Formats: sequence, structure tokens, C-alpha cells
Amino acid sequence: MITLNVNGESHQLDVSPEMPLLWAIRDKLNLTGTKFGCGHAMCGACVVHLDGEAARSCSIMVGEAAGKRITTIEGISGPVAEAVTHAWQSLDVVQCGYCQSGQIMSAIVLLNENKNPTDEDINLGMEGNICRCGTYLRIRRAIHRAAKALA
Amino acid sequence: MNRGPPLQVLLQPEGWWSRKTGCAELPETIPMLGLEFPGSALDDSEHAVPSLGYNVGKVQKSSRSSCHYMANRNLYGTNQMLRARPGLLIVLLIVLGTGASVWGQTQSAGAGDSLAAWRKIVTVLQHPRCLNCHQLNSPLQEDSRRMHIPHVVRGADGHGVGPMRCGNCHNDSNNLTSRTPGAPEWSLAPVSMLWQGLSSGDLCRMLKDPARNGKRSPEALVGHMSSPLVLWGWNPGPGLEPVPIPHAEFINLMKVWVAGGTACPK
Repeated sequence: MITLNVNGESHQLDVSPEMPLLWAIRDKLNLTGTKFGCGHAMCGACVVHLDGEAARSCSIMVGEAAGKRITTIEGISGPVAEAVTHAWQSLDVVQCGYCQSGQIMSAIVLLNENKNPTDEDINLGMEGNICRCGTYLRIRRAIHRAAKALA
Repeated sequence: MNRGPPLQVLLQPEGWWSRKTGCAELPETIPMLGLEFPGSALDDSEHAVPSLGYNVGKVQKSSRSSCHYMANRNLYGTNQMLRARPGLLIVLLIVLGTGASVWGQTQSAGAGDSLAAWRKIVTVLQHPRCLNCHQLNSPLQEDSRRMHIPHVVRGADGHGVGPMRCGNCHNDSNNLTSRTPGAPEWSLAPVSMLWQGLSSGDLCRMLKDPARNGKRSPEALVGHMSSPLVLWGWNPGPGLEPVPIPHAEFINLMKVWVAGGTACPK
């Protein structure tokens, strides 16, 4: 049995320690806000927080996540998370929405590390989050707006 | 008729001749197999060493001075005995050569052996498994050495920036599901260890420079080649070519390189 701390709650899971964390989150805990996009840590749809750091759950094994504080899109909280989600809503960033969980999770980590990112900082920080609908310009504006709200 | 060189010459490290005899220069030839020294054996030129690839040519009379002859007349006595008993010579060569290897070839490594070892070592260091992360600002990826996808950069600490840090995707071990490779402390090498574009000689000189190799002594360099991240090169996971030389052999080459004075090509 492996114990996972997800969004502040402990869960005992009878799974292999090599199971991708994404599988455990979605299939065992029914937290389906985190998406499967590529399975190769290249698209960013599966981003969660592991002890406050961004982590690609398709590429993290359950055994490695045990003992760490896991936060999914369903469990984000705090001033940075509120600023980001408010900016996303006010600018109507989302189109199909499939990538947006990962986009928001990455944006939160970006703003936690850099309170006033430049366009280049946003490019480098959000590079690993792909949007098929092409909402990149709105994502960038939303991050700037969230940074301004946090200032 | 070819005659075997003095046994002592076969087994002694480079530079022995001058040190033993006290004579200023190496002889041009040794009158046995026509063994020739194309240059001084004490510099680090590419053609310094006679011990790895004898250029068997005509038997020549010695051109040595009387200094060399008088200092080494005992060697010639030995050679006369061995020439009379060629079978004995062969047996002794086999026994002594094997013993030398077992005892530790590194103990007798000279500059020539060191240089020869480096030529093999550099094929490891310039292999994609090593070179891909010894880059300035962004790692390369796979055997094709293309740009890393997604684009990632060094950041302030060599571990990336924001939500694009190395550990966000790379774990302490290879992930067979996502096929992301992994090892402890996955990151770019320090900027001082930038290897891209270096010649074999320049890479050699960088590797042994404490100011650019993490303040490592030659012996510490050998130990570093068994650290977890370096070891990953021999176990890169599916789809990636491992380092071509077995790790144990690579370590032995490193020891030979160090024992012979960390010789570098020009």
C-alpha cells in the first residue's frame, strides 16, 4: 500500500509504485481535472504541484510522489492561485479547456518564483505547456494581469 | 634477423632510458626489432611512444653514443643470452607480460600509455550521453543531439527556471512509461565544464584543470566517473545508445591516463 497526500488528504492506494502519478490521480482518486495529453512530459497537460514545484504527473511514479505534498488543479489555493484564476476568467482565456489545468498550474509556479515576469520569462516558464487552440496571447496577458494584481 | 628488444625496455615506463642511463638523449634506434623513437618520448606529441605500435623496420646499427652503450652493457649481456635461446625469450615475455598486467598496468603507465588511454576516454566524453548536458545554456537531446524538446534553459542554478526545472520531468531513475531518462541531480553541467566545440586536446586540458573541473584532482576525477549521474550514461534507458565502452574498462582507462601523467594531445 502506498500513501499519497493529495490536496491535503491522505489516501491509501493498493497500486504499483511504478504507476504514473497521473493514473493514480485520475483513475484511483477520481480527480480528473488533471489531463493526459502525451504521456511523455512534453505537453504539460498533466502538471501538478509536488511540494510546491511543478511536476509532470505522467512522468512521476507513484512511489516517488509518496511522502510529498501533491496538489492538483482541484486543490489550488492562496493569493497567487486566486489571482491567476481570476485573470483567466476575466480575460476569457479558455477555449476548449483541455490544456488549461496544466497552464494554470504552471503559471502559479511561475508567479511564485517571479512576481513580475517579463515576456521572455513567461516564454521560458510556460514553454512546456502546449495549447492546440492557440490561446497563448491570452495566457500571456492573464499572467501579466495576475502579476499586477499581486503587486 | 629480428631480435627482441631488451626486456627492461619493454616493461619500463616512458622516459626510463634517459633516467636510467643519465644520458641526455634517447637513442635513435634500439638494434633489435628496428625499434625507432620518432621523437622525444618525454613530450606529449602524438608520435612520442614506441610501446604501442612498433614500427618494425630494418635492423640498424645503434647510433648511440658510448655513454648509452657503457651505461647499458649489462642489458646487452642479457640480450645475448636470450638471443641464444629464443624459446626462453618467448616464454619469459609471456610470463612477465601477463604478470605486469595482473600486477596493475596502471603502475607502469607512461606518457604514451596515458595519451593512448585518453584517445579512448575522449570517445566517451564526446558521446551524446555526456556531451548533451555539457552545454552552455540548453541541453541537447537523444543520440541525434537535437535541441531539447520542450525548450529548457540553465537558469541561475543549472536546474532550469520556474515550472520548467529539470526535476519537474526527470526523476532519480529512468521512467519507462514516459521514457524520460532520469538520475540523481539531473541537470546541466556547470558552465566551467562546457565541452561543446572543444577539440580532444582542449577537452583534455579542461578536464584536468582544477579551476574548470570542480577543483578535482586527477584521482578525484576517476572517482567522479562513478558518480550516479555519470553512471547514467551506461544505463540511459530504452531508445538511447549507452556509452560504447564498458564502465569498468572506462575507469581503467582513466586510471592509466592519470598514472601516466594525464597526457593530452596538442
